[in-house]
Amino acid sequence: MTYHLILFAVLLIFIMASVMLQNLLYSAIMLALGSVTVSLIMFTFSAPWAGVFELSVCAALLPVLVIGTIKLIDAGGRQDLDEGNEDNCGSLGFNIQPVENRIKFRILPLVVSLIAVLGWIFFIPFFEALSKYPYMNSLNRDLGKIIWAGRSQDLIAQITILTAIAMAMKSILHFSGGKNKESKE
Amino acid sequence: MMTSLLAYLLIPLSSAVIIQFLKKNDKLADIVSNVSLFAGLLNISYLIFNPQNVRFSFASIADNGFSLIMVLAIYLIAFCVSLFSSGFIPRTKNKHNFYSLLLTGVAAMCGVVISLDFFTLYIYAEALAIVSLAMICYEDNERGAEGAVKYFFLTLPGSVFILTGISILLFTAGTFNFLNLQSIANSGPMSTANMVAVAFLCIGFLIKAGIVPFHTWLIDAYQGAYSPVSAFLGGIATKVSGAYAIIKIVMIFKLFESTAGRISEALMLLGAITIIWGAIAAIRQKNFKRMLAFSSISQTGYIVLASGLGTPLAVLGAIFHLFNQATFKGTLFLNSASIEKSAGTTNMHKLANLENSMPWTTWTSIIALLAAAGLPPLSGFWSKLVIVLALWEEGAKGYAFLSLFFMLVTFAHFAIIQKKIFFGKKAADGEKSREMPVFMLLPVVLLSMIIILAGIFFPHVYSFLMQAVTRNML
Repeated sequence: MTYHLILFAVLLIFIMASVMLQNLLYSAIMLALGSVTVSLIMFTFSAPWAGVFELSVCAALLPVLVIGTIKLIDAGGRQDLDEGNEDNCGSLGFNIQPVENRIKFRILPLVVSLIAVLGWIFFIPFFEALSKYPYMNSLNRDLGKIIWAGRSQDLIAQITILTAIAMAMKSILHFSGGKNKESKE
Repeated sequence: MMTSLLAYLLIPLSSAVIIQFLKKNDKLADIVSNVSLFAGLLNISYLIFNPQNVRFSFASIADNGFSLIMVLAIYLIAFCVSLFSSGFIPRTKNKHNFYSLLLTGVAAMCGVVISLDFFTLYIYAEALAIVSLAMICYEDNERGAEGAVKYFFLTLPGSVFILTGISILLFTAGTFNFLNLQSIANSGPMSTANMVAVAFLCIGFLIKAGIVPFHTWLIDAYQGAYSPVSAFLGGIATKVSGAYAIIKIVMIFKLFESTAGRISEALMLLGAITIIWGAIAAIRQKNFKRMLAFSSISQTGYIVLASGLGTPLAVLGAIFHLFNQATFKGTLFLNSASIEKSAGTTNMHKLANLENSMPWTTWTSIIALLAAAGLPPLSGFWSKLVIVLALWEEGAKGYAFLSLFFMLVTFAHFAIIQKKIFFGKKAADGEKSREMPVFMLLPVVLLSMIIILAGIFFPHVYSFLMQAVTRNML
C-alpha cells in the first residue's frame, strides 16, 4: 500500500508538472514520465498487459509524436521569425513562446488533483465493497470476454472513431495552415 | 449492434472518405454527400412507413422501433443540413472537409442508436464528440474557437462519468449488454452499486445533453459555430449523444418501477429546472441564435422530465418530442443561417418585417416556432400533450401544471418574436434582406411539412411509437 501511495504521489507531481511547465518540450517529457508511473502502478496491480501497453504506447509512442510535432512547429516558427513574420510563431498557428502569468491555468490542475486525492481516499473502499458482488466472486470472470466477446461490431466502432479523429484533425489543421498562408500573402 | 441497420452507418462513413479524394471538385462532393444522405433517408422512410407496416399498425416491423425513428431523424436533419450547405458554404471554405465531418457525424450517430451495449454506445458518442468539436471551430474565428474549447472542457467530465458508470457496471453486473442488463434489472430490486453506476451514467449523459446546470457549453457552442453546424448540433447531434442515451437508460433499468426512485426523481427535478431556466433565459436574449439555443435547452428539459417519470406513455412522449425537436430546431437554426446571410445579422433588435423580403423563411419559421410552443395540431402539441397527460396520470400534477404554464410562456414569447422579426416596422437590416435560392429553401420546407404531417397523422405516429416502447420496456 505504501508503494502504491508513493507511486500515486509521483504520478501527481509528473502530471501537474506537465500542465504547469511553460516549455512544451519539458511538458511532453513530464507527460511521458507520468505514463511510465501509470504503467508501474498497473504492474503492481497485477495487470502486466495493461502495463506493457501503457509503457509502449502512452509512455513511448505518443511522446515521440508530440515531441516531433513540437519540433515541427518550432521549426516553422523560427522560419517565420527569420522571414520577419513575428505574428506567426509556428506552422500550425500556435504561439509556443512561454506565456507569462499562468496562475489562472494552475487552478484547474490543482482542483483536479484535489478531486483525485479525495477519489483515492473514498473510491478504494467503494471498489473493495464491489468485490462482494456475485460477478466479482465468480471464478469464470474474464474481462476480455466481457469487453470483446460480449459485444459485436467492435472493429467498426474503432474504424469510426479513427475516421472521426482523422477528419477532425484535417479540418482543424487545414484552417490553421490556411490562416498562415493568408497572412504570409 | 443491430446488423440489419449497419448499412446506415457504413454508407456515410465510406462517403466521408470518398469525399476527401474530391477536393478539387466541389460539385461532385455536393452530389456524393446529398445523394448518399437522400438515399438513406428514402430507404429508412420506406422501411418504417411502407403500406404494409401502416396497415398492420407497425406490428410487422422486426427491428427496434426506437432505433429506426432515431435513424430517420438523423438522416432527415443531416440531409437538410447537407442540401442547405451546398448553397450556403462558399467554395473557399473547404466544403469537402465540412461534408466529410457531417457524414462521419451521421455514421457516429447511427452507431450510437444501433448499439446494443453501453461500451459501444460510449465509443460512438466519443466519435460524435470529436466530430462536433471540429465542426464547431469549422469557421476560423474567435467565437467558434471559444465554443469549441468550452465544448471540449465542459463535456469532458461527462465522458469521465460515463466511463466510471460503465466500470462499476463491469464490476457488479459483468456485462454492458442492454438485454442482459434489462434482465438483471427485471430480476429483482436494484443493488446500491448498480444504482451508483446508473447515476454516473445519467450525470454523464445529462452533461452531454446540456441540461441545467451543465448547459454552459451549449450556448457558446451553438452561437459560435458556423450556422449550418448550429443546425446540425442543435437539430440532432446533442440530442443523440445526450437525450437518446437518457431515454435508453430509463427503458433498460425502468427507473420508475425499480428501487432507483431517487434517480427518477432527480431526473424529473432537473428536467423541470431546465424547462424553467431555458424558457426564462430565452426571453432575455437579443440574438436569435442564442435565443434558439436557450429554447433548445428548455425543450430538452421536457424530454428529461418525461424520461424521469419513466412510464411507457411518458417515454413515448419523450421519444416523439425528441423527434419533433429535431425537426423544429433544425428548421429554426437553418432559417437563422438564412437570415444571418441575407440580413447580415441575427440581432433581433435590428431585424423587422422580414415577411416582405423573405416570405418562405418567415412562414417556415412561424410553423416551427408554433410547433415548439405546442400549438395544435402541429407535432409539438401532441408530444407535449402526451408528456403532460403521462405526468397527470401518475399524480405528478405539479410538474404537469409547470409544463403547461411554460408552454404558454414559450407561446407568448414566440408570438412577440414573430411580430418583431417577421412583421413589425421596417428596419435597415431587414430591408436589404433577400430570399434564399430554391434549393436552400427546400430543406426548411420539407421539415415544416413533416412538422405539420406528424401532427395531422398523429394516430399513426402513436401506433408506431407504442409498438417501439412496449417492445423495449414490457
